[in-house]
Amino acid sequence: MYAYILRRLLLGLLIIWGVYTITFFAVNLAPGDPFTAKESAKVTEADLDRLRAKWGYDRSVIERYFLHTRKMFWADPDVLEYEGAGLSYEVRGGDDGNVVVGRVQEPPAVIVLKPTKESRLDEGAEEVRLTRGPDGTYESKPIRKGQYRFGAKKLSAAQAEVVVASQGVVVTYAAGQVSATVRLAAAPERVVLEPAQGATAPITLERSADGTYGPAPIARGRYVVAGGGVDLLVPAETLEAGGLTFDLGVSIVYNEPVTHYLWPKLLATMKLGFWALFFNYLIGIGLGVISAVRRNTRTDHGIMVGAFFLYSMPGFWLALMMQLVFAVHLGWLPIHGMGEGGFWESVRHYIMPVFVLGVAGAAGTARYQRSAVLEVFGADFVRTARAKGVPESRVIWRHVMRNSLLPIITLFGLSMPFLVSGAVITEQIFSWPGIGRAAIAAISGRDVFVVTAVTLLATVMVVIGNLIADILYAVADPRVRLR
Amino acid sequence: MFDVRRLLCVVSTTLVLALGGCGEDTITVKSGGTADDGSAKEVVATLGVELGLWDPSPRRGREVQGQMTYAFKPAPAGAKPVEGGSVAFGILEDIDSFNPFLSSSVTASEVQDLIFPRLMSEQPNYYDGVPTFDPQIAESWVIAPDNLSIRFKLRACVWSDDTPISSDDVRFSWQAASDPDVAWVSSSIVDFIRDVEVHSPREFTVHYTNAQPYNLMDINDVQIVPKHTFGLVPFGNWRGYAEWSQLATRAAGGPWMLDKHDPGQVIVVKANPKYWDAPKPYLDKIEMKIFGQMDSMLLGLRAGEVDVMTGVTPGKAKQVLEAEHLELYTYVTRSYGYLGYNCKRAPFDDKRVRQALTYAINRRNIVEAIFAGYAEEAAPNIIRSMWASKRSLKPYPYDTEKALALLAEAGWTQNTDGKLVKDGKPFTFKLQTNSGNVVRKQICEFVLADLATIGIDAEIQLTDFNQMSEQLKKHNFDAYVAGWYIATKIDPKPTFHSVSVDGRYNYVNFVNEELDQLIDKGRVMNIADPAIRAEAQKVWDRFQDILYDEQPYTMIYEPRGLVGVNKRYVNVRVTSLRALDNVHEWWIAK
Repeated sequence: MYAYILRRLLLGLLIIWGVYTITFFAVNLAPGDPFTAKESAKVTEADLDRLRAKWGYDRSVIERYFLHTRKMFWADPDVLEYEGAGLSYEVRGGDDGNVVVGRVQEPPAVIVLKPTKESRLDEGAEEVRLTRGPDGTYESKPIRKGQYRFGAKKLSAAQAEVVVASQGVVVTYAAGQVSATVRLAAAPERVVLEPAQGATAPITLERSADGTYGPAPIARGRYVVAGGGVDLLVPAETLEAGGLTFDLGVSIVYNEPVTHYLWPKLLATMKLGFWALFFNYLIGIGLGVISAVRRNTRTDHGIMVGAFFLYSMPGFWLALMMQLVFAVHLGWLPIHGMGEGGFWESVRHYIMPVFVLGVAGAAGTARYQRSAVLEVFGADFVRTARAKGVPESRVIWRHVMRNSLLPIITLFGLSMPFLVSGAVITEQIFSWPGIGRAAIAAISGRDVFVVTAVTLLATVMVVIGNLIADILYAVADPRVRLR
Repeated sequence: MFDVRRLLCVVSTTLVLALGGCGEDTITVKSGGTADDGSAKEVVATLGVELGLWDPSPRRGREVQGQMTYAFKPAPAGAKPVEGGSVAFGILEDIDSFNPFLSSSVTASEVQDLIFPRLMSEQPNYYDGVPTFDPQIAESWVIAPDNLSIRFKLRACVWSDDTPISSDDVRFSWQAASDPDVAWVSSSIVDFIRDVEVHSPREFTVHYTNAQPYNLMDINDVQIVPKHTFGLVPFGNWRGYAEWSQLATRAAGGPWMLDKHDPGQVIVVKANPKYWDAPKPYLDKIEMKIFGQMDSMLLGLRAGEVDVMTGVTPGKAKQVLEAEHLELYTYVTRSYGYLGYNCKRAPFDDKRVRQALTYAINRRNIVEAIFAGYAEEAAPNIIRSMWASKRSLKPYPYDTEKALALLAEAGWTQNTDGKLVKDGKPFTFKLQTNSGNVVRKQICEFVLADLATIGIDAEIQLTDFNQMSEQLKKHNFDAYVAGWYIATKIDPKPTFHSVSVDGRYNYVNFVNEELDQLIDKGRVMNIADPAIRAEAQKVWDRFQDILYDEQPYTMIYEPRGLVGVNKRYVNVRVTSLRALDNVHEWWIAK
């Protein structure tokens, strides 16, 4: 039995990996990306390209796949970088809190000025490269009017002088020529980080033989270097030091870790799903049994006609009709969301969605249960029990019920994924803040990591649900042995 | 169903192209007067009537009819504002971030506008020229004679935690807007801002690299955020930071402050007691309820669960008008819908064919049937609510004989089956639009039916929005139905200039040298000067004449925006710039 479970779990992992891979490529190969939808009056292609680069969308899909898969299990340490007055500073988390290291900035060997897309199209601007000569200065070159990027900074050839302090370099533009010079102060012996907001003690960084400063421990807070230029902000006592993790990524649309974003939605869906399943089986099994016991009576026919009616009704139509009747015309029940506040307030919000999901489902369950009960009714052991004079109620409860539940257990196992996948349409119509709605929004917004996470979640539930169904089956039916 | 606007809007630097249901955007009109009989509150649309945009006859029931760019229901004369109460808005998507520079959705920016101040407030009077600005936290400003800098003076006002709103906050906000690590999706807005120079806590100068007419608009598009709270997180860490709603709760500078955000459910803002224009807001709070779907939002409006719903579709307007407790605000939007032809592909490379199709499509019928009259037939390429519109250009009449005559000139004749053929080949083409947009699909069907009557067999092709944009950019299509949502500045360069054929929005591949020259000239003219403006009007008139004659687009409709509001609110103004324009001035009539 345990070997069986283990084997099934391993197989499950394989399935999950397969589904993850397929989902990843399906979402990534679909036309458009999370950024196309952001295009608007004030957003240019160049802006979008920058965003794309930030999220790895400037690489190939394959590269992205490995990059993101690695990220799921291994986190790089959180590093903060600051710069000023010719030095750069790096703060990273360590075992005993944060550590700061300073370095002298080396001017780049080549400066590349890239025109923005608009400038390229409108003004015919072209890329300009300035090489650093042996004397440490850069050559001077002609440049067309337009807007250029140097690293991450933007400069405009319409401006007289542009200081690109990030690399200790000044780019100057005059009369159609662009030139650059290095403007570095002599490296100081030591640097003192003065405490500002939130920080208490100053930190002195001494220069070591290899030209770096520090390392020194640094506490949370804000620090400045006397003389200006640097403004360090350490937001946490210990930054993320990196290492093994299980990280599903960040929602590109909501700028939030996927797990953080999806957790409350998962809870909302599970609450709705739980009550829907609960009433589904409670009512379904009950009506099924009644129907079977009273078969071919008016009760039976009544129940089955009702079940057919609800079963064949489209959920979205039922939902909208209920809203029209119970909210707009009668004013009894609310339309929007889960509600907040008291118990009864919540109950009022749950009634309609639970009815739409649970009761319509119960119609199906009742039909299954009815036929299962009827089948068991004809079995030998039931006849034997009746023959030896066991009271009818005991026959039904003790002998028939237990055996008729077998197919329902399978059904239950298979409906487990429903707890997380929920009912997308019902969630939309009742504005339920659940995972189904999040998934739809994520698909339309090409929010890759959210789509992947939701799919993974559903896969895990399918794998687990199937396993549970098999185990329950063994528990309920001694004839079944799992190997 | 979800996030329709974001999904369907495509834009360029100056033109927002709504390829989709951006029909919700609005144009409002100057108010003339109000019929104050207590039931039908109707703002008489004087300017709109003059321009032929509005029907001067009495409107349907409870409609607050706007003119041009906003709809306004004033408070009853002499009534004193009542403080207290709340209002519930229905919205279709959750806010993506409370930090304006990390956010890209339309809904989010409207919510942020409630919490964070702007220097000024842009007025919806672009039908009259460059939009003007009213003071907000900037009480005055002086534009330098060379147009390269503007000196501002802030009013004495504070954030909700009593910290003064200062020039440092403005400089900080500009830095955030332009910082590459922050990667604000609209950062090109501040491309022309060279520096924000702080003189004193209440005075600063904004320096620009170019002297262009829209400099004021550029700095005003930067929302002012509090440096003393937002500055606690370094720019490099902004995108990974998860607690912006916490920071937004600590210091607000707009009329409202964040009270609660229940993701996927509701955003609640309450009155900011430190707002400089106190006692406004009059209401205590705004609840923004997030709905999953338009139909249930409308039911929510009818059931009284929400008080305001923007983007009511024309087909559902009747439901709003029939509900006793609701009023329908209508105004002209900043958008239009059109049929675009691939001008480099036969048979649409012949202007007579394009003209003929315009004659053959019954646009009046489309406007009446699909928009229930809540749209106008479009004709000039610059829509009639923009100042430069050549409103004397009338829509081509529906005239199939004229169409057939033009087609005959171009070599297309009807065969014995009534089908158009040229050199033995039938006239067929594919008409594309984006799937999921019901209105566009209906328009395609109407177009198909009209063209079938003159013997043209077209076929509708529905494509996913992203995919369609790609195909249009590559000019891989015959014809398509789409729409543009336009900015308040007039700049058709992204859509009609020949440089925009490659990679931008000149999908129709329309190249015309004179048009290029007109665009290059017109877009940079400083129309604040009346003499230059008259000159600019001539440039844009000629621009529209060319497009009217060449018909690279068959202009179809200029839609109206429809907003359902519970009638107990007064002083309500809905504009094409901001749906939640002046909620801080609303109050509940007893």
